[in-house]
Amino acid sequence: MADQERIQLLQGTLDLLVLQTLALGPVHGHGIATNIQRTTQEELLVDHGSLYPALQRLERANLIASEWGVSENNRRARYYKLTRTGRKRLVTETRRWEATVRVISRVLNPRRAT
Amino acid sequence: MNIPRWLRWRSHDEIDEEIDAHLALEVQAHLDRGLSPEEARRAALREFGNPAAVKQRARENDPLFRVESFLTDVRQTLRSLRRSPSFTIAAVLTLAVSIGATTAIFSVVDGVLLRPMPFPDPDRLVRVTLHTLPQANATVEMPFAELGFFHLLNNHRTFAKVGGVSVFAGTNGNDEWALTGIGAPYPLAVARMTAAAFEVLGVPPQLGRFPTAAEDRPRGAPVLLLSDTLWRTMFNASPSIVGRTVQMNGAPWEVIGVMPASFKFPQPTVDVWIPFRLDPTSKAIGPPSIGLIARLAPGATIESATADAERLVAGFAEIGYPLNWTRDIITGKAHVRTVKDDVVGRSRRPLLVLLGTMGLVLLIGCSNVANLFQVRAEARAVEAAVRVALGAGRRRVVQLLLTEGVIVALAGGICGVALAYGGLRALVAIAPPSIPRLDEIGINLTVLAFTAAVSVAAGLLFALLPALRTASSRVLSALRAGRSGSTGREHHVARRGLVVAQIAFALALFVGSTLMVRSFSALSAINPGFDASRLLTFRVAPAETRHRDGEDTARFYDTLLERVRAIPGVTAAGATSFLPMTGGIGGLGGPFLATAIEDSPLDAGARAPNSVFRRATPGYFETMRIPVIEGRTFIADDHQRRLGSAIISESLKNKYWPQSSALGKKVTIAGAPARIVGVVGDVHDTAPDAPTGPVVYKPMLDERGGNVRGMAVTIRTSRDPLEVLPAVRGTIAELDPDLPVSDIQTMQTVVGASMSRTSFTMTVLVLAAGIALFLGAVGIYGVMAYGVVQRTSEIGLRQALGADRASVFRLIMRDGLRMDVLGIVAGLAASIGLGKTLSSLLYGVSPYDGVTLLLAAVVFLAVGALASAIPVSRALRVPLIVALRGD
Repeated sequence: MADQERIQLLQGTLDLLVLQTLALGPVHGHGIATNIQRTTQEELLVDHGSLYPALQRLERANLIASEWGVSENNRRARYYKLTRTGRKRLVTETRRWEATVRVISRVLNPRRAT
Repeated sequence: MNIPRWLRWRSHDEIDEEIDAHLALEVQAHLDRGLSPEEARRAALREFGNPAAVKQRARENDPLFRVESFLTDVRQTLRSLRRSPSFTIAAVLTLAVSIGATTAIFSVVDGVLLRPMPFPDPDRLVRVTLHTLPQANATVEMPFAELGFFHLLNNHRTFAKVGGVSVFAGTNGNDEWALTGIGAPYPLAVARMTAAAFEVLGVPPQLGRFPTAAEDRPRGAPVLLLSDTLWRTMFNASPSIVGRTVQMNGAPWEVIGVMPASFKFPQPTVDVWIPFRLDPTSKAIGPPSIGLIARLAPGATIESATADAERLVAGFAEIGYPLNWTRDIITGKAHVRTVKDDVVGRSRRPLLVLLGTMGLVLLIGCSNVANLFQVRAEARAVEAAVRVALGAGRRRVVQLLLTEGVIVALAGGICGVALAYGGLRALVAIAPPSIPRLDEIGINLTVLAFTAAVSVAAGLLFALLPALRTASSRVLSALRAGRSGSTGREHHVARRGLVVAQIAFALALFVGSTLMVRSFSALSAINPGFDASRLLTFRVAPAETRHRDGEDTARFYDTLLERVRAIPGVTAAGATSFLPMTGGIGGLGGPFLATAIEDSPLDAGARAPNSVFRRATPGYFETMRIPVIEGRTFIADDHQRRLGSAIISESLKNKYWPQSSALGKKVTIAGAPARIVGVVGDVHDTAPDAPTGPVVYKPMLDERGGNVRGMAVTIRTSRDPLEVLPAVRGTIAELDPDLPVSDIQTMQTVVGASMSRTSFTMTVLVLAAGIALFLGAVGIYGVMAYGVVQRTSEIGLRQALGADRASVFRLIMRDGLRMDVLGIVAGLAASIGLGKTLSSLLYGVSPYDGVTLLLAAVVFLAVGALASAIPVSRALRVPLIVALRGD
């Protein structure tokens, strides 16, 4: 049960984080995972296992594209990059996320709201 | 069955490689942090989760994944089914039998009883008959004589239109008709219908037209309508047939139309319909041979029509119906029923019994399938739990079990359809011709779908129950329970209940079929009053154009019989106007006529019975070996010199001259008085179980002339009767090359056909009971085998603790036998409850026959014991150590 809850919680956010990470340039799966972990100062633990289904989902939705490349340890690895639609989606999703956060935090904490 | 690489969105190798690369990078990162290689790998895996599961989830993203996993499931299922052939065979067979047999039987019932008749608005189409006094213990319904027919036609208030119909040649007819002028004469079944009758039925001809009122009068133009079959076989379905003239019995007839293939009235065998040509102005009574059909007037009901008909029948005495007819035959009661009820009538009960039987078989089949699947699924619960533990999604596991259910169901279904088709063909082949509408029967797709759905649903439901239980995350307990584990008492109870019910149903069927078998053997043991062995029979009817009068015809028969007797291998020959056991008008076995008896000690009022009237030639009684009680049989002088002699049957003699001799007494039938010259034994006329009615035999000619045209020739032979047939045919061809010979058969065939209804019901019931017994045994065996396997370690333990084999055997056996006995008791109760339903189908055996019930109990006890003993003794042979390990 707990397992399922966490997946649901991460569902939308993981996609957004992946898109944001790829905005900086092509990265392979492991790179995406470590990148997210590093930028969140390890506070968000990325379930590496759930990353790949997410990547495939995004690719099937035509938000990212992939091709084989060579990793830093000289292994073949699949590199992902944002497509044009992916970039647009990143912008709209970021806005929606920010709006959501603003609204939710206003509800949760009315005094601190602007 | 793998999906080709190019169809894949992403190959498995690519997914594997990508994920392996990820892990390698992660391991490298940990190594860089200074962990040992082993620690690094473990840390990477901890972070990543189960790589196999991730890979699987990644694969599941493939759009083709569903197809692929389905194919995998199919492969896996086929493999696992191959590994457990007993389950597979039992399940497929059970499904096939319950789907196939039930569908076949139901298709017959549906075709005969349920489907509407092929007439427009069939519910308003009725047949009217007269109710007669019971003859012996059977009630007989009579058709109308001309006088009564017109009385009803002119005075009714409840019918829209009234028509008359009669079959008078071929099957059930007593005259011979044939197409002539085409080489060998082609025998025909001819029906007469009034012009109105065609309109009452309302089925238009596919070609041509109905007869006109002018053609339906005495001496109207000779016109006829062809049946679809005759049109196709004899006239190559030529559309130009309408307007052509054909020869029937040497006379020209104009073809005015062809009826459609669906038109089979009044019976399917009719080849030709001709106008009835009744004379409405005639004051003659006429023979009672007109079947009255009518359309109910708007607003009229069966009840109001019956009241209307009875009002008119009550007045029959005033219009001049013969006194003894109005008193003896007509009781002032009439039957009005829909044509369908009339046609289906006597077949209803046996067919409904068979339908009920098949319903029971379906029930047994379903509970068996349910049982099999449940046992199987429980055995697989552990496997399912293992799969879940190893990372399989629960949906996948359920899907796998479901796939298995579907595959088995499909296989069973396909075999079932094949069985239904084959079974239906076999059923129609063995069905007695007396079952109406046989040719309308086809596989009923609705029924097929229904039985398939029911039995498949039963299987799937029970396949899924344990799967769902597994899915609801009782993985651990299932794993712990392991192979030796049982899955709870409630399932045992359900399964045992099913087995008990199965045994009960099967036993009821067994009792039913045993009773039918005993009826059949009782029927076969009846002495029909003649010796049916080595008797050849056929019908001939010399044409009016060749043999002008009765004397000429009688001479023809004399010559024919004389020449036949000269054929080597023939020991005797004779002829009669009506062969016993061939049905006849109203099922009476011949014309049923008023008979005046004189010189009887009984008072005058009682001396006017109705008797079956037959003509017979010299040699007939000797050929049939009908015993002579007193006096003599016919001799040539009887007809040649018109001595006015008669021979009566024993029952008639016993009624009127119980103490004294009947010889020399006067009896008047068919308008001519005669002296009794002999008394012969009773003959079972309509069927072996039909009561023997009084019969008066007369020679071919008497003072009133005599109209012997069609006669049934009987020939006794010293070898196989069919061997003399060519010589007999040659003799007939010499005498009259145009003479049609029909209904060629041995007397044994005739007797067999008259019992065909019983033998048909019996065959199907025996089949059903066999199936049920088998399924019941499979049920007990399945449950016992499963139960014993689960108790293997207990058995081992008991033995290890010092129990001897015999006591363990008894312990486990008691379990199986308890189910068996419960089932037997319930089954016996059900049989007794159902006895009443069956009793009208039985002959010479009570539905509560103790011997039969006892036999059934013993058989089922034995079967149950055997089905239990096999798995138990197998368990006892398991080496102790293996049994104790419980695996």
